[in-house]
Amino acid sequence: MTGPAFSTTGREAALELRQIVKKFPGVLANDRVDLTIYTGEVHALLGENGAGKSTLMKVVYGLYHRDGGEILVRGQPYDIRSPQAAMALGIGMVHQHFMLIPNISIIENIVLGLRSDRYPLLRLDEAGRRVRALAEDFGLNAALSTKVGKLTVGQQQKVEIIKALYRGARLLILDEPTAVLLPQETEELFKLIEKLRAGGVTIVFISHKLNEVLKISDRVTVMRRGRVVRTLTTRQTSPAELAEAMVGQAVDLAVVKQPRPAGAPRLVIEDAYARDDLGSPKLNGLRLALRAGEIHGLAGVDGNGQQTLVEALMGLRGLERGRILFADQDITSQPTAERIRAGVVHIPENRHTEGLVLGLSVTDNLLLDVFEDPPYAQRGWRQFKVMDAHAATLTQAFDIRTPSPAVEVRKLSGGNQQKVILARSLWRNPAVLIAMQPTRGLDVGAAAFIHKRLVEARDQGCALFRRQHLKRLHRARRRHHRGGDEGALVGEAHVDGHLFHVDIVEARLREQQLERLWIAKAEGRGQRRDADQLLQHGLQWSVGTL
Amino acid sequence: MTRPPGFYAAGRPRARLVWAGAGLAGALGLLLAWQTELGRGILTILAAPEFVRAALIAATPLLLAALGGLISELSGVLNMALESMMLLGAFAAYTASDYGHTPWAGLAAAGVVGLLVGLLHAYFTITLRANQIVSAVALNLFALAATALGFRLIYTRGVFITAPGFAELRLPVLSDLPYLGKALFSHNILIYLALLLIPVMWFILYRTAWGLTLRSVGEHPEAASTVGINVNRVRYLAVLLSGAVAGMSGSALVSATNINAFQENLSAGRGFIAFAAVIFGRWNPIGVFFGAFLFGLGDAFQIRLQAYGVGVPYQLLLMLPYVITLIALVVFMRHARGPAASGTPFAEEGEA
Repeated sequence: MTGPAFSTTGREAALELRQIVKKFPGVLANDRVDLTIYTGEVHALLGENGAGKSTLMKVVYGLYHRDGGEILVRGQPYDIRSPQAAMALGIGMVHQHFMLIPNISIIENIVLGLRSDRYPLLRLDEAGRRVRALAEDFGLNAALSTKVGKLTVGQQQKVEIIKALYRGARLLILDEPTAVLLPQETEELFKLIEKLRAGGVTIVFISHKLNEVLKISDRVTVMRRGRVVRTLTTRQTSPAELAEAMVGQAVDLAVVKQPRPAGAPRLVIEDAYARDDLGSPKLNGLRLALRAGEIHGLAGVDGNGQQTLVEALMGLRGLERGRILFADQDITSQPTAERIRAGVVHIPENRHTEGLVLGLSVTDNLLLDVFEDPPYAQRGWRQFKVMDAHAATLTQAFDIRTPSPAVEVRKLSGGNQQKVILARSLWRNPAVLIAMQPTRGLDVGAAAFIHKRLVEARDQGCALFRRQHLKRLHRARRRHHRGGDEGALVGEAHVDGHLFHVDIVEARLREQQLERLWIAKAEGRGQRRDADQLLQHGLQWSVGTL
Repeated sequence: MTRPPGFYAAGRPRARLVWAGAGLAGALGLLLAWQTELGRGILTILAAPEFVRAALIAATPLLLAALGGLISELSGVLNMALESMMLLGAFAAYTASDYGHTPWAGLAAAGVVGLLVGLLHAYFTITLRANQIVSAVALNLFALAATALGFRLIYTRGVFITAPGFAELRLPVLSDLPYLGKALFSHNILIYLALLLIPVMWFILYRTAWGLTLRSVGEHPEAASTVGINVNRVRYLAVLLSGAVAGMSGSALVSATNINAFQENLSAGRGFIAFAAVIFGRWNPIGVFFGAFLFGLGDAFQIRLQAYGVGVPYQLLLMLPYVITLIALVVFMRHARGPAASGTPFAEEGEA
């Protein structure tokens, strides 16, 4: 996609940052950052979560005020103290969490805060005439009076971009724009970025995904812990070089995973029928067998019954028909607590709302499913010494970085929060682990750690098998595209209520062992289909990393 | 370009069937009621133009308070302090019209007092980021005590003093219409002004930049902030305006007593009904009118039942308008959805 190597000679600097400092209480978010963005380039800002990329750009956009340094726009120094000031200088920003109001229309969102010719009247029809050309150009095919909440995420992003351009943006900051997109939408976004660049718009592309940065940018600036590590020309760098710059040491991005024959079926779902909260059928005769000693992937566009399936497996939702067998025992009507005690464990998708009680300590969260059982409680009295010892062991074993296990889990970083859940799920050697997007929103380092532990758990299970005649099954659930670096495994075509699940049949190593090819098998209506058949049905597979 | 949400989402076949059924049952009920003496008496009451007239009079204070509440709530600040604004406004209206010898002085005083209460509510909830319900409860309790004390201090003799009220304004030609003339077109000027405020507010909310700004601040303050809107300034203005309008509802309340008098706890929870009317009206000025009018109908009806003498303790009859409002709220508004950011204070990014 990239043309000839981007040359900086003879280019005007659209934006120049000199020695920018931004402090938050206790944190130095930007430490003397220098950065030059040339007019007409796509400049990627790469770094792990918390590296200070977004903070830096929020300083440029006037949402934060810098504590030191200079901002030069087209060679002139400016003191940008509000988004309005930034917009007046032709700087626009599309935030990671869209700044759109769902309950008002597209056009209202676009003109919000602007003065029409006949202020204070809105004159939406007039604005609409001018917006429509932009909308058509970017393939936004929705009436401008549509409420934004009814649009897909990809469409909403286009509205955000149009909103910025309508306000005269010539420098567009995109903060993690692909984090919320489906693979096809990402492709579309990249085409749109090409189009914008061709039209002379300068783009700052914030990301922590190596492959995207390599694909779309002209130059890359890598940030780590609030500082600029280095700026590279994309064509002259490699993923390994970028990864090393990001993390600060050489990283082995590939998860080492030996092939391992799967054992006997451990968790079996037979002809399951279930509905979701709204009463629409989500599981229609689903059959699935999870084998001991395998990692079983599950893919599909959101809303195709994955949530319902997991709820059914955990006993959070009843089946209308069908059975669930665990180790040849019928557990269809067993309550959740008993399933957990039996070794069916679940890493929920949303760690904040389902996985953790944010206001409780790390210790309490580690014991959330067993705190009333001995030895953690005796006759209703909590045993703090036992609990503390347990917490100390787990924080060490799972490398949970916390000042103390007594700290509220809310105060931990996302990666460490996820490790708390992982520790809680794995320490008892579960028989079945249902992990829903376990690396969602985590940076490269934390995600690699989690993946490693999952694979390790599988391998340990086999070791245990030799000693104790017990096999473990791990079922990694990969549900949607939002999974950060875990890659996207998303089928566009889907038959209502039928799940397509993805097995890793072949680990084909590609450049720098970054990517593995996923090949699909699917089950539905009780019949097996192979990957070729699925492709004929229009299901598209993308390549992801594990 | 966009239409505000309509009041009724009727039109689906099933909803139509339900309405048709309800209509049929109603007609049958009327026919049966006509057979009894009590039923005939009640139906006569309902058919008289005075009934709608009284309902409109009773609804006006609620309408003003609810429109005031609407402004505040659309900006994301719950205004359960409407009761205090109404009660303090009523006391101010009564005293100022008594001493100023004109009801207009009362209206102005009510607006100013309401504005000041709004200022307090805004300071507590926006600047200090106090819980919006707690602030409102405090203001309501304060208003109840303060007006009782003030009333006893100023009017020591304990006799009813009638303050000057708004004159009845009979609209030419229209007031001569049969039924409608009496029911709708011979009211005091405050009622017309309150009704006029409905389309004015609708226009401001949905056709002006200020209205869009207000709505955006209540739905998604962060988004509004990123396009350069000063969220807390908009909220301050909204709560102040809300207080002024809700305060004027006190003036309407005094004039709705027919004798332009004041007594302790004159509002008697009507501020809370106005709060409910905002929800009933789905955060839309036209809907809010229906909410207020429904309560007005109930109020007018129970007064007439008392006068007619139905042999039920009057305390039970007094409950009627409140019960009707409650039932309507439960039946129709189970899925009502207000401004998304309602009730949550806004902190600029980077602030603690």
